[in-house]
Amino acid sequence: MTKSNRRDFLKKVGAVGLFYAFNKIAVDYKNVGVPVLRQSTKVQYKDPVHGANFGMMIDVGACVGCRRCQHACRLENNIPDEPSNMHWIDVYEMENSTPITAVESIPPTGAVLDYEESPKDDHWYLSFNCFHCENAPCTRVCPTGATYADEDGIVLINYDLCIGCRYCMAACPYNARRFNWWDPKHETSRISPVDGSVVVLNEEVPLRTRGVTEKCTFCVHRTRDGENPKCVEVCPVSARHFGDLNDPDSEVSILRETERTINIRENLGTRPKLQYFTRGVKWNKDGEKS
Amino acid sequence: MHTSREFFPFIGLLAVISGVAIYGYVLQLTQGLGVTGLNDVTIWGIYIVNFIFFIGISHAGIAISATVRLMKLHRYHKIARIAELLTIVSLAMAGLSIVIDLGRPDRSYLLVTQYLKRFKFSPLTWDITAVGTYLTLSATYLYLTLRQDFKLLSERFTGLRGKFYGMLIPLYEVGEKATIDRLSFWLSVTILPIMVMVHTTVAWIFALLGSRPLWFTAFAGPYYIVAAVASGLGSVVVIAAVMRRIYHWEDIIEPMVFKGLANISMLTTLIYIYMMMAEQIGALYAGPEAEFLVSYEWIFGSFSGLFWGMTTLGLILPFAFLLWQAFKPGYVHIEGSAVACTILVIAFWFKRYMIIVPTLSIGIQQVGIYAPSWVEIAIMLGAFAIPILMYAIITKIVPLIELEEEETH
Amino acid sequence: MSSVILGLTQALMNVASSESGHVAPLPLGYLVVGIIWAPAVVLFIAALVGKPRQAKITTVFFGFVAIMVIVFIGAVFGLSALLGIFY
Repeated sequence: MTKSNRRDFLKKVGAVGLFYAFNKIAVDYKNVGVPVLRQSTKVQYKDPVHGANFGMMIDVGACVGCRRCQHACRLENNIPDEPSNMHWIDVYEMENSTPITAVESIPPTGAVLDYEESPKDDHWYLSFNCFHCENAPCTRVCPTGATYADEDGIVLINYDLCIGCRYCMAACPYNARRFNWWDPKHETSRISPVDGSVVVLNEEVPLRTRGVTEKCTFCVHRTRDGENPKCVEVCPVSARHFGDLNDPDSEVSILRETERTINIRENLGTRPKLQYFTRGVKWNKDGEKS
Repeated sequence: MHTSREFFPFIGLLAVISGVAIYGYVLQLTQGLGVTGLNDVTIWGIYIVNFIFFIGISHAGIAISATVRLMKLHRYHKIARIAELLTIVSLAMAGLSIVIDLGRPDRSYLLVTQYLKRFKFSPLTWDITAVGTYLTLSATYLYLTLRQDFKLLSERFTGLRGKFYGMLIPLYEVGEKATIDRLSFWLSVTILPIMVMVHTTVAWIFALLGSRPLWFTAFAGPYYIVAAVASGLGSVVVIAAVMRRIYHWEDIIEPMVFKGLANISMLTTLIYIYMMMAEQIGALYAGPEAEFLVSYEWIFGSFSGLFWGMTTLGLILPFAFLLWQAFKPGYVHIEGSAVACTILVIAFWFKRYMIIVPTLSIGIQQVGIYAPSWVEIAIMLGAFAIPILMYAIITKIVPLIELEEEETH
Repeated sequence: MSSVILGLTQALMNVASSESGHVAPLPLGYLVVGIIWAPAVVLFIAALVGKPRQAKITTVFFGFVAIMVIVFIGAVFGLSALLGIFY
């Protein structure tokens, strides 16, 4: 081949290649899944409750590992089933001999995340979500200020400011945050595994796009109106308790005073507001020993 | 400077690799970061490794230029500009590597608009400050020292090319060399501490997280800087050796230059091996549970193949060769040094991988298996092809050896 | 300067207190960014007062630095705009 022939040939190959690539990209782009009912992107949370400091207490002795909190949370906060199996609440199954504070990190060795039946004999269950720390490492490191601790002690994420760098996820000592690796595919309605009812998208909770981080918000859309988070409401054994730590008459304040409370990884100085306690035995919904 | 026959297929190959990388990135943009192998436990992978790697390489340029100027080591003057260009290119690639890692890169501008609110607290903001300052001042240094060459080129070429070079030297004044020299001196002196801060803030991105085993350590800054000097100077050895061969600069770049650079690369590698040993012995002997676990996995467990391969073949073997060469006075084997330094640089990439991935995957005892996907590998190859492409094209325009030197040979 | 001291003192008091409520972290960024920029400030002063000095070259120096900063920030905004077509 002469030089000019070769050059012409290369030009043709290049043109065909470009054409093919462009079509492939254009087609892929057109087929990106568009979330159902994509809301406008102004993320607005209700006004914080002045003077409050919300916290949560979980009775480790009572928890039977049923995961109703996990399922209710997903339905309440518009966490879709597809494409990623994301949940803001995780529940670990541990053997009785494992003490809660023997661990440097979560979960301790031997903890099982994907158990199928519960409660098992000689096992206990630890459920956790975001600890809404008073000295949160995640809010410190965010380069855009997307995640922040609000006045009433709830650590929130402004999904419009999140650039998806995942630095907050690296900083969190409790692995409480989740990332949208794909576009969340929202269903208009789902069947609740908790009670079989039909659940529609919750309009009070903003929908997220791919590329942003999310986590438990202490159901900010409910708690700032005086309700309990959904996980607290659906627990069949009343293991979860929520309230204002600045209010001496709230459930959590009283529990703090009367029960032996335990913090996870307290030595890191995070001052977590999700704390654990155990009365040592299992209680049912009516407060009776089972 | 003529363009050889081999240039175009080489550029073609780089262009193909870059094309595949761009295609992979478009997939990632349209579908999400799920096309990588990352998950909620191992949140960072190859992209961040690339970022640290490129920042490390970028230390070579100004280290050499500043040392040449301040310690009057005129022997290294010839390769100083090659090194400076390497700095600019690798800093740009470092910035690109971070953008590629973002979930919403279309919001990158927030890093600028929210700067005043976040600079008080976020190590990422400190990193952007340091890298931005370093890049600005390095580019300024490069430009000031290029003015003389552009002047010569504008006089040598007539027509459009000459005019082009003329446009690059606005406000040129005969006799500006003295002022330029003084400014270059001050630039060298002040860029050095900024360079130290660049890699310190990069190290702090990981080291200021109290919950991460083997990341949270006081000596993270020096640890990363030693690796940067070793890999940066090693890269300069490789690039200078390659260019010396391609452009036939055998008379201009003397062989002992390579020996000097390789010696420092070798010494810093030794210091780095010592630091690694100190870190691992500490974690295995007395580390809290998570630190012990991660260190155990490095040395004996799931990451041990990678660790020992990298340490023995990647670090100790080239170190041994360079040590042997250092002990033979007046002797340097340029090809051997280039090969040894290539191995060193690749090993340092794997060492950064060892820093990032095990701590995330298993550090909180919740295993998040990470295997890089083809998209990540394609983008990484592109991340290397694109700077080589940039470098190759820039060298057609910008003289790599200061022209006065080339003319007198 | 006084606002920096005030801010630091307030932050310290917040950290040291044992009352419940959100803890404001220490604004160590003042120190870090100050250390990063201190050499640059020295450089700019040296560029302005040292000898030999030529007005044109000083202009070129500061002009190039300014251009680099504008290019850097402009690149960030440009990149954001370009990638915005995918979202």
